[in-house]
Amino acid sequence: MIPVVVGAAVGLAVAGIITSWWNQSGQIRERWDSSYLDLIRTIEEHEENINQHINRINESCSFYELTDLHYSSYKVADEAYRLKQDAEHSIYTQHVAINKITAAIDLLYDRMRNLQNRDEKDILQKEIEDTLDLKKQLYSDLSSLKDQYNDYKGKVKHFNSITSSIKFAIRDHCGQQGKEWYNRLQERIQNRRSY
Amino acid sequence: MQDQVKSKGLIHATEITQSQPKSNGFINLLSQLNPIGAIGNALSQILDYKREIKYIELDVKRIEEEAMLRHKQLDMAFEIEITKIEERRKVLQDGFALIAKMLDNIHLQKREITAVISDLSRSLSNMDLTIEEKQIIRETIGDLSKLSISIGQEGTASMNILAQNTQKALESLPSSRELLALGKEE
Repeated sequence: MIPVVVGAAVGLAVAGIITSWWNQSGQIRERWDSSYLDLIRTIEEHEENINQHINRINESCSFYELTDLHYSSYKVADEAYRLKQDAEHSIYTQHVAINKITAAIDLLYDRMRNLQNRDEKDILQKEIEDTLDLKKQLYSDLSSLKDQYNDYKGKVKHFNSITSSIKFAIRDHCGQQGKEWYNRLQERIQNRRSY
Repeated sequence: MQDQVKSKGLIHATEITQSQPKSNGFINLLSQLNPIGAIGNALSQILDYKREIKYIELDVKRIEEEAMLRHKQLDMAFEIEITKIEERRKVLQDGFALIAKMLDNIHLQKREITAVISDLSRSLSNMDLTIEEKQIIRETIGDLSKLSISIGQEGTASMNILAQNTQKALESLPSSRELLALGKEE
């Protein structure tokens, strides 16, 4: 009887030990699963952080590069506008000069009509011809001035368009920094317009 | 899940590609018939899992260090890029300042020339002036008109330098084409 009881007790003890080990094995497997999931989460989080870091850097670099380009383009358009204004002023002055020269020629013709002396007439005729030549030259120069004006006008238009495109690119592609820059710029433009 | 980890490019999880400790069904059956074997098998699995957990812990630590290093590298690359941008900006601004000064001079010269042309043209109607004086005035007006064109051409040349530099800077900007096309107002 005693050996049977001892045998049963040993058997139960062994079964208990096996069950205990298996339970422990199950627990440690759960711990492994949990650690593995933590690892996956860690990788995903770090990758997300690194991607965000890269995006922030790209946005910042684009922001600085584009704001510099915006400045350049704005300055080119501004200088072209100034040259265009100068050319416009030169064209106006040239027209005024041509009108004054035309008036001088009219005066010379009037004087010519009242002259009787042949030599005096010849001298005056020479003066009229020289003045007409000058008028012709001023007309020719006027054409060059108009070409310069059109060139500057084209540049103003081209660089104004580029400046505007860069402005919207900064707003749309440079994150919060770009949006804030755009809003400040628009505010300045509005203030300037309201004065 | 392991495939998912391997597919990520930024952080490499080398250790965790090791397989999860596996248990063989036939061995399980045998081990259930043999209690000592079963205890040994369970113990072996526990040790395997513990070892794997240790690997994973090391991997997490390594990944964190690797990520920190990557952030540092990115910050350094950013600083280098910003320094380059600042240097370029300085060159650009100096260039603009120089050309703006030239254009200022051109502007003043042209204004003076046009004012003189205007005054001299009026003098041509002055009948008190001698023929020689008028001849000199005509020649001066003609010369000044040519000078005005020539100064205008200098302005055009300076302007073209500015325009070309800006255009080049625009074209050298990576993806500027896409940025500017997408950035247009709706």
